[in-house]
Amino acid sequence: MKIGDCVVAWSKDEELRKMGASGGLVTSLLVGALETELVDEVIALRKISEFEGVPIRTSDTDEAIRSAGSLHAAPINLTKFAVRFFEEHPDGAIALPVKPCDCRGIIEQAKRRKIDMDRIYLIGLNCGGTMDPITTMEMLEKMYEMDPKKIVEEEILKGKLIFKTEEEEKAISIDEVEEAGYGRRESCRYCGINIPMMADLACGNWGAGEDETFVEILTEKGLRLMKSAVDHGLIETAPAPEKGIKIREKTNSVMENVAKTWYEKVFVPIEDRSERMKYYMDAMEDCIDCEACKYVCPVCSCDESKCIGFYDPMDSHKISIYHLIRLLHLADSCIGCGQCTDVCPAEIPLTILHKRVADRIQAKYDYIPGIDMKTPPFFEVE
Amino acid sequence: MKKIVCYGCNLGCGLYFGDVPYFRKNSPVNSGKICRFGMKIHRYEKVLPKVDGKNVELDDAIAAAAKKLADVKEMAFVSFGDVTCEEQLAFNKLAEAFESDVHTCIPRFIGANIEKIRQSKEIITFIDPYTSYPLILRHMLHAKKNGAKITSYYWKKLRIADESVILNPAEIDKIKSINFGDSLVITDLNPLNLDFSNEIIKSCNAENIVCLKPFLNSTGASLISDGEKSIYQIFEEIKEKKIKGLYLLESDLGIVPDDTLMAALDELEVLIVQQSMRNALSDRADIVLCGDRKFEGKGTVLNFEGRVLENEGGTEGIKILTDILKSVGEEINYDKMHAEVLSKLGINEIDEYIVPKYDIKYKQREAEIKNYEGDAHLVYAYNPFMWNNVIDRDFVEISPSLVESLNLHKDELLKMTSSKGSVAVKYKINNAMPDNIVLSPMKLPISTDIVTPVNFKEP
Repeated sequence: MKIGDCVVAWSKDEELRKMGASGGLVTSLLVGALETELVDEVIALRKISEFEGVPIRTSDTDEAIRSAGSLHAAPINLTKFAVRFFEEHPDGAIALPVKPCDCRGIIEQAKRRKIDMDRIYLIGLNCGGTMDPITTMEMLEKMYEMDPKKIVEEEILKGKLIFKTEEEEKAISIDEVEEAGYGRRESCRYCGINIPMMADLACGNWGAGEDETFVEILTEKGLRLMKSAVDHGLIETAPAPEKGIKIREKTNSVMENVAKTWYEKVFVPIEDRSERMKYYMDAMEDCIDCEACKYVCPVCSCDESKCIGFYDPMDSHKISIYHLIRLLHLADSCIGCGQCTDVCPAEIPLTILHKRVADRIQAKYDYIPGIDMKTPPFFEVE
Repeated sequence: MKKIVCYGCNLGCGLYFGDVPYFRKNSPVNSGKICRFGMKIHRYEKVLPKVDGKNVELDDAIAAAAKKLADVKEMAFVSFGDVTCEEQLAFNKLAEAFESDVHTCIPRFIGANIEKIRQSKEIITFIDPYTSYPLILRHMLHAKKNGAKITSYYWKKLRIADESVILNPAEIDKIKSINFGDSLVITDLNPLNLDFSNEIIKSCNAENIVCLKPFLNSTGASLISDGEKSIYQIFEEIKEKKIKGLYLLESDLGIVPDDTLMAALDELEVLIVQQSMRNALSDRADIVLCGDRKFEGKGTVLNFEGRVLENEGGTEGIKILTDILKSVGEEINYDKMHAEVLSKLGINEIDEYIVPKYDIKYKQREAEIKNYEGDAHLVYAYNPFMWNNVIDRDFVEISPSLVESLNLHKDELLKMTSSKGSVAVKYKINNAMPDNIVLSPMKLPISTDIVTPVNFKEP
């Protein structure tokens, strides 16, 4: 194996192959990283149900194994959990599975010296999108006529959203469920980054056979992760077949096109300046000052937050200074992950509001945050 | 991280808690969203066990409480419901052992559920969803997006309302003439506004009322405990020496607007408080027993819909009650309490995604709703911080015209005088405010009730 290789891989442990998605590779890599002492801890989602995963940080391999399995309806960004690890263990090392938006958040935090990229192992996961758990449960009852409590597995495959119980399997096209207001979170629909090429490994089932994972080895750290798991007898690998490589490319291209269509649908330009101002004021006026959007934001890194520090709740502005500062602060770093919209109690479409500003700025400076370690255009120092 | 329920109010917002709160997106009420209070639930100073002003070991405080309970007759027991059903039930057992009831100070009532808000076409609200119960806002916004007409009856205009009717304290009884029709009515039931809520509840079909409440488990506590005294009756009976000792479980009587009422507590033979937060009440108490923090008690919580929720945590609070009950020969434990709670609720297991049906008869109060004298009024804007006696916002809201008429400059203070005295406070200008109302998110020393007649003349 070498950097740039594409392989298929799977866990040698029969139990893990069953528990984990696509042959249990990712869980085996986490276990391998702990057992070979490449890392001190791993971060994973402990599965409570198909609709609930609790983020855990652990050095216990058994606990890592218990977190096996994919969860599409537990949309949590793990960046801040990685930041917490480095706050507590500046010289420690950690591994975690990352969706592209987790990975982008981590890279932005690394630029702000909150994460040490040499000590974090990013097991990238291809991502076609995640779903909000509550609306997904509602969708299951209304569109699939399935009991959410009986769901044992869900999958996104060939443009369809598939749910399985012990007794049956039902699939509906993603277009149909999204037309009805369900399906993937809005930010996932227009996200065009599906394969995390900025991670150490890019893993997924696109182009892979049954019970195996397609892996592209992207960095020296990724190679180290794979080799240590092989040497430790945890995984088996084989070269990725040409057909698999083409399927993966094609799937990615289809997803990129779907995202483009959604982007155009959601981000209809507001050409008139005063209309644009009115749009922002109207959307932000429901704000109840909870600050959850800042708290959950994977790229927010201020220790003493300017957005909070300069904000005075006694001011009577229709858009608070808090939001104005955040709009400015995120202009070069917003990755459009959707976490702020997810947690907003007033249902303000914050991700869209931020992206409307950030996309223009990022396009102007030819800068895409979270893709590489390129210095953000607003940084004063290189 | 533990799965917990926010104690900011009785909406039943689910979240995770490790060292800090985190968003639990599959929580049925709030989809993981939490308000400003929810984001700060853990930020309070924990109280230490105390007897007669001196810090002691918890066991010594428990022994002192058991002795006082045996010695002092005419004890009253109060728990607003800031504890799990299991702890409330254990508190009931304690009260029963001393031939008393537990008073929650909020009547038993369960009305419509969240789904009904979301499906409504006409909503009448008596609460400010932005401030008082923030996580109800999203359900109202959902209804509005689907075409619901929202009318508010409140102290100021509400942004969400299509029609805002400003309540006038001098004519509050006008709410009697509102034609509710088939509208869904959103109101709240708290220890300070029983007459107001009573008027609304008796005028509507119970199935059309969403009745919000201020404490973690207000609904569960009122189903479990039978005491019917209001917070004001309790103060009255203390003054009349009918109540000689008071045991407060996570219940700060200091929520009453009129601070002078609190002086009655000094006339008690014993004031026992079992709570986790250090505050003026714990400083005043003869015996302080410290349990789990409000969000850390293991057990069952019922939200305003009657939805049964699980709170992961410890059983320190129940253990304190267990130890006191041992002194009178009673044996209880968490498992027994939990089994009895499920049996009382008529369920075998907790399923947060189902709202069980309840058959509860609301007991109407005979009291009449009262108007307030005067031309200008200071009014409390209920919010989770106020119910916890925490100052989050240290300013009041007033109209631009009032600012102009008083010739107030930026950074100047608003001076108000009531029958109790004067105060100067910071103010925020809000176009939504009427000219005759000062809306306060915090308790002010000049208040005599939830509505206080004031004037703006120099004393």
